[in-house]
Amino acid sequence: MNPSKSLLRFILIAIVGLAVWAVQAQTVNNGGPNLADRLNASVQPITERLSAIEKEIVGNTLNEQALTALSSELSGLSQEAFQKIVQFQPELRDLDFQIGRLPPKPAEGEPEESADIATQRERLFDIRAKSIIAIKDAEILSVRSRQLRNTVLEQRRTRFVQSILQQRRLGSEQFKEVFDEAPGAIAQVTGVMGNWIASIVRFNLSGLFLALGLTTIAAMVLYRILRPLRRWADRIGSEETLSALHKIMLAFFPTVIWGGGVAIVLGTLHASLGYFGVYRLRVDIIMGNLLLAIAGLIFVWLLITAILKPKRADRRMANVTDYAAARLRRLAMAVAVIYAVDIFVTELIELFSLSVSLTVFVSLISSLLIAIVMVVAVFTRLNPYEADAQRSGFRGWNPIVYWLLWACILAIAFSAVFGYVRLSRFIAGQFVVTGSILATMYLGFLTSRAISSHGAIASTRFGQRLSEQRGFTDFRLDQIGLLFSILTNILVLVVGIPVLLLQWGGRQDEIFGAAKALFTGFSVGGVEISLTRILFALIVFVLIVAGTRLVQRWFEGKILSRTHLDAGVKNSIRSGLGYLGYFLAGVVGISWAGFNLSNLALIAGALSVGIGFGLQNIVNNFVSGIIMLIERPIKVGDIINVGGAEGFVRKINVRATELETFDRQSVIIPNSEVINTSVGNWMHVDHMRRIIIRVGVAYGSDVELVRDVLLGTLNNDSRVASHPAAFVYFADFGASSLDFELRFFVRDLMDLIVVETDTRFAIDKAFRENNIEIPFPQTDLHLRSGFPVIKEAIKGK
Amino acid sequence: MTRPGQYISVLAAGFAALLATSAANAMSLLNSDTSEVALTVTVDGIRTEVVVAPNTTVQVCDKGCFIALPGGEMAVFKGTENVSVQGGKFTILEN
Repeated sequence: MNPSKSLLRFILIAIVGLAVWAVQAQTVNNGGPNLADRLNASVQPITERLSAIEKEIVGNTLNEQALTALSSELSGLSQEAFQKIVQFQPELRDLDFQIGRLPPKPAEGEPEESADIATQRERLFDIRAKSIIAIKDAEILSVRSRQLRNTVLEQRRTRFVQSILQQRRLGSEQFKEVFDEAPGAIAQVTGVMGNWIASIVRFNLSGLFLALGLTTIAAMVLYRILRPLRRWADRIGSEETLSALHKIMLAFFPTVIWGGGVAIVLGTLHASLGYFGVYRLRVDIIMGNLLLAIAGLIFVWLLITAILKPKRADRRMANVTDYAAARLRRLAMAVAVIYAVDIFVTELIELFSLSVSLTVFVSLISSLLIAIVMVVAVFTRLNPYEADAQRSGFRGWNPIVYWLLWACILAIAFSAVFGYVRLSRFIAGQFVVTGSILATMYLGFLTSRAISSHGAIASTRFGQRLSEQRGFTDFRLDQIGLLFSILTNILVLVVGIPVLLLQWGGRQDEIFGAAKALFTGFSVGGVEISLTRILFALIVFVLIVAGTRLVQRWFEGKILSRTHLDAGVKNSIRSGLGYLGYFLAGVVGISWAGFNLSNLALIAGALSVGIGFGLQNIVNNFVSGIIMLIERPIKVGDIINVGGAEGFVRKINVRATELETFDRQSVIIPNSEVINTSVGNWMHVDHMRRIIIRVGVAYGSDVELVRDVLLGTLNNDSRVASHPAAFVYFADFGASSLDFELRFFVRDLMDLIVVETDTRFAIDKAFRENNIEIPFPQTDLHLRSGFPVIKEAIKGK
Repeated sequence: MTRPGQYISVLAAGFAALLATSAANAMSLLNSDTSEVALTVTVDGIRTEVVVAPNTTVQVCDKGCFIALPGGEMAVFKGTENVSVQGGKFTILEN
């Protein structure tokens, strides 16, 4: 070959080789930003934003709105950082894998590893260290975010308390200021509303009519849809006496239906006015608030009427007189109206950015008015005059409620008088809202009580259907009622308590967090309790118990019935399976509930001495029961006598055995007595029993004949066993008679008494037929001395 | 429904419920060391210390967390992994 060509080829190969090596070196370097750099790049901007937010918050100059916004942004940042880091998880694992693939670092004295591997090792470890730092940065970020959120919470709380406890002067100048501002404010509002109405008439009458038309249609549609419910309510309402459950249903459902219906209609009006462009700026808010207030007040009216029923005492759900019911309704509506007007006017003031002193004035008036209404309510007599003797001056009010009301009244009044107007308004508002929530919860509890009352479910159509189709007894229906009432209680608590907490300033996520912790698990002094786990443990327990019953039944039906074991053995096996199942259920249930049994062991150890002594007998009985199951000295159905009681074995339980005597008395005998004392069992081996019939015949009878006759009475009796054979025992030359005993065995001891009786009848008959005499007790009387007349008479004989 | 049918449907519903909710399991962490280890678990910015006895498995964070080991190691987890800790290092176990 040409030398220059081969040289060229060599150079080409060398260049290619170098290039390959360079590329390979590049790929080892993973060209571009490495893992750590990218991690940092993700976290950095988030950290910077966090620091910026921190500066703002620390300044403590932000208002409520800004604080809330920042708080949710912080939460978002924490989440974002976490998500970003998590995305790198596979690459991090990859990195660890690569590090693991490196050959082990040579020890002292061994040849050093190649430069490539050393550089690689150094690089990988460097990236790893930097990655860990980036992860730690993300973690710190989440901690800082949490801390800042707590700070925000603190600031909000402090601000709230400060604003509530603001004291305002209520002197003449303040009132003068209000009277100066008020006309202007009213003019402003009425001006806007007037302009609006004028502009509708001039420009948008069609829109108005469209809106009204749509609303009317909606109302009519609702009216039609709700007809079946109205008919149902009428049907139930026409009955004379109602069960408690029906009363409540009649109170609630129409209220909710009508109230809901009104709300929907008004909502439709509002929406359609907006849709058809009838609204102007600010007017939509005003109208919206107004319609909302109207809907709310109508709903409150319906609810209070349903509860108090001033005209129908039999439907009333509160135990008050007619007069009190009418009074209370008016007062409650007054409070609702004052509260609604207060909110409406306050919103107006805010909407039109009017003077703050107006707000103060309005709050003051409404708080005092509410306090006055409460005073009138407290002085209303709830119960009839005669009953007051027992209620010691509370006029029928519950004492706790009475004192609470007075506390609220005084708090509102005094704080208002001393200038703490916001506080006063706050208390009044809280009273109204919290009172409503509590009253609703109370009604919920009343409902659940009504559901669980005797015969409640049975009186409904649902209950009647159940009893017809499924044959549920009244008792069953009451049980169902109990279940529903428990569910209702739970529902009331689960809905009511969070609403209350929210109302009192709890935060949504705090409440949810607490609720979640309650269910998923929280620690109390080292013991982890989790409601969900306990609930599951219970469910598992119930399931296993149910499964045990199924298995028992299947076992008995399919397997035991194919064997020839007798009833006692079958019963033993069935019971044994049952105990096994319960034990299993208990163990699985406890371990599911997450109870650390080692903790229990300590306590058990301490108590075991006392328990041991106390439970001695119970355990004794239990173990005896197990022994009885295995050894079977007695079986269900046997006739036994233990400790003087004789009867049928009806049931062998864990602790004791039930006997039924022939007098039909149940005797319950501890199992330990069965095992530890002597027990007579007539049916242990076989069912035969011996009968001994004693009969005496007169002296001078033919004894051979007697024997034959006695044996003959048994001949045709199939109930008498032929083996062992019957036997006549010549017992004695008795004082009055020759005593015989007929000894024989009866095949089935259940026939004992009958056979004995029949045989005695037969003996008597046979003796008469054969002229064998059964003597009375006889005594020979020898006269040694005595009356000569009798001597003569006897001499003659 | 016949009696056995009722029983069986109740049992089936119960098991289904059990399965459904046990799907919402937390991440399990096993301490493969011979001595106990003190972890710092950070969930949404809240740090908690969890001490795990040797050869014991605990359930930790179900929504994702950072876990720090005494040796200075830290890792981030989604909450659905099976993890083992040994000699100051995490190992994610493949099921």
